[in-house]
Amino acid sequence: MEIQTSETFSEVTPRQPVSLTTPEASTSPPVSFPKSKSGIQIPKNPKYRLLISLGVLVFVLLILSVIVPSRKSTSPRTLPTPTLFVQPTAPAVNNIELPSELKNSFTQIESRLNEVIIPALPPEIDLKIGKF
Amino acid sequence: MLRPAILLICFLFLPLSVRAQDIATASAPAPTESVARLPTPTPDLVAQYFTDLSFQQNQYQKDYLDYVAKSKVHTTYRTITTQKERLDATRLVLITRNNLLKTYLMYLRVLLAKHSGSSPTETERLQIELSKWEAYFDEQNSIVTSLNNESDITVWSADFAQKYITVQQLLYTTLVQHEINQRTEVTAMLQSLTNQIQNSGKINSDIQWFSDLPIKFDLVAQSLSKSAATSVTRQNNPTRFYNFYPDAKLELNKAKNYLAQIATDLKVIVIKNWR
Repeated sequence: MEIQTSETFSEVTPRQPVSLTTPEASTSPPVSFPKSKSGIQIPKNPKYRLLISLGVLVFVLLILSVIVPSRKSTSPRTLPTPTLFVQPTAPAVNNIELPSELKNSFTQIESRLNEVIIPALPPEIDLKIGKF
Repeated sequence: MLRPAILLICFLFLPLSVRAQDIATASAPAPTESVARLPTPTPDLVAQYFTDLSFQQNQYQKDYLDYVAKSKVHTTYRTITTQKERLDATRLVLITRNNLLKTYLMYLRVLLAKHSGSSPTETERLQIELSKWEAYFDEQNSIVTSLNNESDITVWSADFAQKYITVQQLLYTTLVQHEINQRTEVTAMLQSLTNQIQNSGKINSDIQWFSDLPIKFDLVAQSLSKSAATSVTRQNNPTRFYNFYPDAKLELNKAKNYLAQIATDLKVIVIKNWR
């Protein structure tokens, strides 16, 4: 296999620049940009240009600032108010037609099982007090 | 030209941030609303003694800190005045400590009465013991007041430390007994409920679940007797208190779990087979 050298590259004829315009167009006078339909013209004065770009920036930021917090605030709005309006799920026993005595017994037993039996353990005291 | 534009930006952003705060605060519920709706509980004797206990605990904490401070001052300066101040602070904290322990004994005595029906003899015995120690602490307060020198206080403190082993034994035994009483009461309730369900005629009594229940009741009884035994057997060393409460608590928790299982089993029986 033959490796291409720089000489072989030099043999390649360089491309001629392609003109995009047709020969007729090149002869015609330069075309000026038409005015927009709404009639808005960008002023040539750089101060006004800066002011307009700032205005556009403010407008965009304004829209963004409206959209972003509204998205963030959706989650707390949809959250339910804690404990006040939460309905406890009824135990399955209550859904069956049982005598009230039985139902009461079940409720009593449940409350007894869950009650705090010892609210306070013996106090921790220092027995070294007074041992001089 | 730039300055008005920056001011305009600031002006436009200011109300939005305020509105965002409003939304956040509006979504939060008013805390006082839920508190206001809670029913006020009627104070019972246990609650009253518990309040007294909290008060005595705070008092002891305060006097103890004072005693520590006075002791430090005396260690630094060693004057007659600082010694007298330390002596006064010691007497005061000893009295407060006695009051605290007496209040706790009273609290236990009342607490024990709550479920005394399941083992009245043992409960009564413990209540009498507690009363005796209450009187002891009352008596000690008058003795401490009359102690005028440090050597007498040292002797008294050493004697008290020895007696406190017995007091601790009693305190934890009472706690264990109280829990045993409560579990026994729940066991009795569950047994009665089981009988009620079996005799209702609305459930087929041949189902497998009923045969499992006695085994679980036996396990409850076993755990309760084990927890009662820990308070008796573990005190080998008379000069040092061995805290048997964690071991007893382990058995008591086991008993509680068995009871919860029995309650669940009964529920399942009723839900599946009630006609």
